[in-house]
Amino acid sequence: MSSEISFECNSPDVVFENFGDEVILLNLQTGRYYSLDPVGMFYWEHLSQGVSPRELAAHIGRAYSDQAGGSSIAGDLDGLLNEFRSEQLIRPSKTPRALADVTNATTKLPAEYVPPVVSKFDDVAEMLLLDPVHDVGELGWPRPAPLDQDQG
Amino acid sequence: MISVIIPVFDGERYIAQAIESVLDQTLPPDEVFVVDDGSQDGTREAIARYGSRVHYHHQSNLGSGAARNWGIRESKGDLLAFLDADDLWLPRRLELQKAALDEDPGLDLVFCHMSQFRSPELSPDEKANLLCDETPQPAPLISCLLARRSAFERVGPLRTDVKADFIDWYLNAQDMGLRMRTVDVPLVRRRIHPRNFSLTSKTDVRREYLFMLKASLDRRRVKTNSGIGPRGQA
Repeated sequence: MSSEISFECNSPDVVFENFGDEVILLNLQTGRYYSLDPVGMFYWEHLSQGVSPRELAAHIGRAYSDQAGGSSIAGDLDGLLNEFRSEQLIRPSKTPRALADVTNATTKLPAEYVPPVVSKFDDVAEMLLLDPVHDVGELGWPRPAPLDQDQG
Repeated sequence: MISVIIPVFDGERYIAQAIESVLDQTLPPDEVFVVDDGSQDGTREAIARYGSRVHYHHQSNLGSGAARNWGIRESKGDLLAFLDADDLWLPRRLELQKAALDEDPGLDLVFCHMSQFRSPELSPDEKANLLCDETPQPAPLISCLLARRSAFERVGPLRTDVKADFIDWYLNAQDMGLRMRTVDVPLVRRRIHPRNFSLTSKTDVRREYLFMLKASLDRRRVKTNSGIGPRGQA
């Protein structure tokens, strides 16, 4: 079950920045970018550092126990996780971490629960996909062309 | 009147082909500026042979944004076309794109389709290592742009403090509601060669993208109050 395993940011294809009021993620393989609102930011920050979805959902559920039904929060977070996975923003992590071990977190949950929203944009995808930077591997050289591609 | 602006840095190998592709247009431009951004190779000599047909300007290495801005400032054309020094235009690039602007006076920017090619002098090994989709595709690249000067007057000059200067400018143009069209014909050939990819500061460029996208979303959110919001899908 996906909530049992841990994840990390699908870098270097995916880059992100926390701007304080939102996190913006960019998938350089698709040219799509995303904005996360506060609950989504909290979820992303911890999920991308290897905290399991199950522990995160339990923590967020506890934080809002008097505001929303636990099952609704769990469902919202499950939806968020599915979105991150289907958009290839995360991948399974080999280094799971406990929530308590994340000491550099900068996002805080808002006082009132609002179901997290991922806003998705593809208005500059064509342009971003044409930029050479998206093909560059970590060593600064593009990935090899597929074997069946014309090499002429 | 059409002015062409070609920024170049250490482009001795390809700049002559780029210039030829501009001079061979079925609708020739009225002036061509090559802005040499501090080349250390034989770029100046490669350009000298074109004499008065090309205006050459040398600047210390200030980046492509500054080079393009110089050309925009110094040129006289009411239409501005750009070409990166390693790319090539096909002969009808200016003719077809100017026709699109003539047809629609409200249009600000015209792009076209582009096809990519592996630079022919590369070794088989180098070619095999380069991803190169040769299928013609719509391309919002600056090598594919014909713009009214008024578009630059509205949006402003290119940024000189970033590497992705045109992406930033394009986002601004889009957010300001400039009207764009893409001519559905391949009119530009984009050369793929290892130097396309030798961005030593690619991490910085990726970070630049995120800051540009954030600025663009914020601009669009301001407009949300007047009914034009970001087109995100929740």
